[in-house]
Amino acid sequence: MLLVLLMIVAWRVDPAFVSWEAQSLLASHLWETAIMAVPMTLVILIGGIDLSVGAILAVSAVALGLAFQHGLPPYAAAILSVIIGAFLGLANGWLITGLRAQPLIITLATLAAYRGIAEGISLAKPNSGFPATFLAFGSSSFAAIAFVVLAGTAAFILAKTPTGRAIYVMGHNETVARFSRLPVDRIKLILYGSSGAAAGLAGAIMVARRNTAKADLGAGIELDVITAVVLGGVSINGGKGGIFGLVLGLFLVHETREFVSWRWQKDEVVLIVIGLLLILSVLLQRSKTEDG
Amino acid sequence: MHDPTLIAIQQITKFYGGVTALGAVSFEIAKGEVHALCGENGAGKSTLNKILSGSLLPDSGEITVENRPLPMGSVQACQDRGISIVHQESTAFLHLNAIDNIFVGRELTAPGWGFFRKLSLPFARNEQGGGVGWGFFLDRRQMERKTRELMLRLGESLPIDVPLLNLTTAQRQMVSIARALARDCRLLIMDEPTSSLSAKESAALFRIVRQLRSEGVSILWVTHRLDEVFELADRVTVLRDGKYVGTRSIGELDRAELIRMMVGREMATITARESNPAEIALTVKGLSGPAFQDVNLTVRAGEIVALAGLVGAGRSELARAIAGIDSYDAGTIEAEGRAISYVPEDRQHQGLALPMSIRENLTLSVLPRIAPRHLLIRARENQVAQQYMQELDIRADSTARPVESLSGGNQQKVLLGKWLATDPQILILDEPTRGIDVGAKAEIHRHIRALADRGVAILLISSEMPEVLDLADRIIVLREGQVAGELSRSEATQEKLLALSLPDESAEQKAVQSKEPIVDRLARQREIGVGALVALTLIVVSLVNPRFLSIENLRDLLINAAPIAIAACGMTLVILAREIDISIGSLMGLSAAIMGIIASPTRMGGSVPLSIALALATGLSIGLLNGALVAVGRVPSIIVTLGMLTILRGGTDLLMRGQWITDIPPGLRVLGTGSVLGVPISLWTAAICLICTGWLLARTALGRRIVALGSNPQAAVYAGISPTRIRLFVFACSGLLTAIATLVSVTRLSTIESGIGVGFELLVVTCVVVGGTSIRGGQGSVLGSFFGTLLLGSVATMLIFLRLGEMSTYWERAIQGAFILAAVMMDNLARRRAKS
Repeated sequence: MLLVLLMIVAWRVDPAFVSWEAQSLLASHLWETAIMAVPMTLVILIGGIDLSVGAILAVSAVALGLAFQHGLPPYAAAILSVIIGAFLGLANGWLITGLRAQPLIITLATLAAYRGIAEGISLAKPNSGFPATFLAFGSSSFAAIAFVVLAGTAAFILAKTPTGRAIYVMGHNETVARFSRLPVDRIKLILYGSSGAAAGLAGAIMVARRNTAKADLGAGIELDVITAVVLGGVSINGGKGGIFGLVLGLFLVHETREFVSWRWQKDEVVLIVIGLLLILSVLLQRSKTEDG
Repeated sequence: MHDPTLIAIQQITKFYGGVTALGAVSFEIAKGEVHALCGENGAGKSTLNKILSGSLLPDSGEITVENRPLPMGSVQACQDRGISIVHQESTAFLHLNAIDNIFVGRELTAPGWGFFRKLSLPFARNEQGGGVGWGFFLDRRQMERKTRELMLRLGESLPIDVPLLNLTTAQRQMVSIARALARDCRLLIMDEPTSSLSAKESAALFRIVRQLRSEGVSILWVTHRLDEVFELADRVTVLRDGKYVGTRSIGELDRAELIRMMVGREMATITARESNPAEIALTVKGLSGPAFQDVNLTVRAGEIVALAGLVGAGRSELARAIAGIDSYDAGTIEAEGRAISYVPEDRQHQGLALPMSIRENLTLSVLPRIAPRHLLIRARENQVAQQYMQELDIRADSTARPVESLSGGNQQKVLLGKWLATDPQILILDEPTRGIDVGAKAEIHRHIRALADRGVAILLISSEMPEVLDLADRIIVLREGQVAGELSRSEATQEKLLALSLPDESAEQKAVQSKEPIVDRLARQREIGVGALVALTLIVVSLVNPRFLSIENLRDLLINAAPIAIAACGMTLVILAREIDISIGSLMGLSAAIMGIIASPTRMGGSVPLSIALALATGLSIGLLNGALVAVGRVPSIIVTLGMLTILRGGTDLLMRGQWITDIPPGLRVLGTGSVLGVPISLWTAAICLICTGWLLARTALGRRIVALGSNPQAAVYAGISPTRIRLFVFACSGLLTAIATLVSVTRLSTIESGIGVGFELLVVTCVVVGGTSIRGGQGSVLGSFFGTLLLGSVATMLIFLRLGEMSTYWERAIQGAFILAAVMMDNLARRRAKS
């Protein structure tokens, strides 16, 4: 956490980079990542992981496109996509709790399955031509509000409610949580469900922003989401971290992106730097805890 | 009077931070004696064990074995000098059989194959680069013969070719002892060896210990059970608060004296409680579940009823069912609205969240009380925590202190407090004093009595007969899941309890036989199952469309599967070692780009061999880098390879500059399109990779160590296996094999673009998992992964041939996902069947 702060300060100090327009305008792509990263933080806190968010995003987006094509009003279609996302997320949760299986494997499976469904129902054809009223969803301000509301709620739950306490306990030791009669399975269901719902919401936003709905939307975005969460100091093994860290992590990813592309004018370098950042931050965290 | 000294411990000192864990401890262990080591928790017993067995470096002091100093801090060196340890928590490899468990880390190998041996040595060598002169291939016959000899010596007849998963705890312990003996053990350290054994199994262990003593082996018997000390030991050494108190011969010592040495004061004698039971609080009628049948019992308010019996008699299962944590099949539980709380037996794994604070743990079971309207109120939380901290006399400076920093006794008090906070009227205590010292035990006993006096109905599960006899008003004995009898306080004696607990000989024989290797069979069936599924798919499709079985089509199927199968070999190794590598898709892209750029006449125009060599070098070095970050940097592999995935993809894009490479020279394309003896080169390559990896796993010491590491990383370290080297090796293999897969797949196409290999990692992981390799490590095979690859490949082709129309190909990925889910469900089913 300290490390993350330090790095941000370092960027702040770099005088050439303080162009406030660039600072205030967060890339829209980041907002979608940010929205999905909030429930992902909670999922990783309980020691789980959700690899299927990108695929859920695609299913929701494709369904939204089809629903719109069949005459559903755009707002109803957007709500539908959130519901579909929640449903697919619940399916993840149900499989994980029902089979007592590792979330990595289950969501790896549903990553493939959901992406296949998106391809199957859309026949890989894009849908576009949404009305202007719907495209308003794609504005940064809507996404920003959604993120702030989600992050605020999550932070509140973690700090102030029994559910938040239960989430940390589950991350440290799930058996202990079960023996303490905490509603372990219900919390899992809800968290995977909300992860799906957030992916559905991000799907609607992405469709509105790009004015097109197709099956390959959000491919690989799950890795961006997880990267932001881990960069925010959330332990991949669960139990440690919080929403404040996540915000810093997102900020860090964004700053890095902006800074690197401003400096080198190349997106490829951004990928390399973010990958390095991810490995280095965990590496430094490790060496710090081992010293102490 | 005693034989000459084997081991002399001299002035051993160890500090943890500012705390002295061991302060200048000195004593000697004679040859061929059973030397008991006693002391309360926190007295320094385990620290001394760790130093003796080489897993911990002392700050000062010396240990000599027959007057020669022992190198400190090296498990391997200690084992070389004949010191072995049998741990409290079983450090066995559950997925391996007895033979492998005994020899892993010290494999017997056939001579010859010097080249391979040299090649594998940097990875397989022991941490200290140990001078074990072993070859490359396992000498399995020799190992099996030696194992049989050892079992004969121990008088044991356990099945030696079955995974330890299917053996009882006692049998696993025998395997651990055999492992120590196989290493010419002269001092065997046994750490709380009877803590999870039944009385009968303990008796068998005592017999073996006596036999080993007569053979001249010394035994350091670490225990908190005083009965054992008097029954077994020749001499006893007592530690208290990290200091040496004294060593005595058993003959010159009595029980009270020993307790005084351990505690440093006389224990107050316990007066019998005046029990005053009131109305019936709990009635259990005809309760049946997986581990118990038709149990009837009652507990009155203010009464302590003990549930006695052997470990495995179904006591904990029954208790959990009564408390409503596990479900049951038949019967009724009547508590008339009274709150039932169950305090679990295992505080580390079931009871407490160790890294969290005392306050958070104490309030965990009463969250609704401290959070009315779902909001945590700090004041109430502190109040509850303070109350139980005082009531139970938990010794810590603040409620904010993490539970893991407390001593065992204080942790046990937190555990008790956590469930007392629920204000139970019926309290089930499962082994409430396991592994805590005499002083803390007496305190807990006092609390239990006080609770009963306040009118709480208490059901006490305990394997320690003195505890049962001391506390209980009534004793119910459970035998093999059934109530064997009931004793009142006045009529109960140790002998009567034991007689009721022990099963009939015939019944026990049957029980052992029913433990035939179900899991093992299913694991093997898994490969056969996937293979059969492949065959079935092929047959069904060919019935619908005979063209499917044409040579060309099958050939296509195999050629498509070849690169996946090659990469799956590497992935199988990685997953077996309990890691994961999701960077291989990006690595494929990068090696393809490097190969293409070097070979393309319009880019660099390098020679074909150079491009191949550099592509392979890329794979190998990235693999090693991954391995180094995981093994040396201790970063979780999912993070490392996730980061690497991003980095490599960026690197590939940089190299490709957004252009495609379309002029791959024919010399390179031959790799993908050419054939030798009528069989495509890619198939030869895949076959070689599969055979080599399969052989590595099944026949070599290195392979056995990979599985061992994945099965139980901690035990692997004790077996002298270097996790660092093994991890480096599996990731290096994964990288190299991915590069090979790139060579044979990319060269089939005429262009190289930067998107090559996107999603490849998921495909490969899918194949490996569908093939039956457990993501938890330690279980799986290359053959399974190969079948998994074929299965997914044939399904893809099937979709085309079943004429489901154009749209069918779009559903391909959905079906892939369904296959993983099916594989997980099969695993789940197998596990459940294995349990029952």
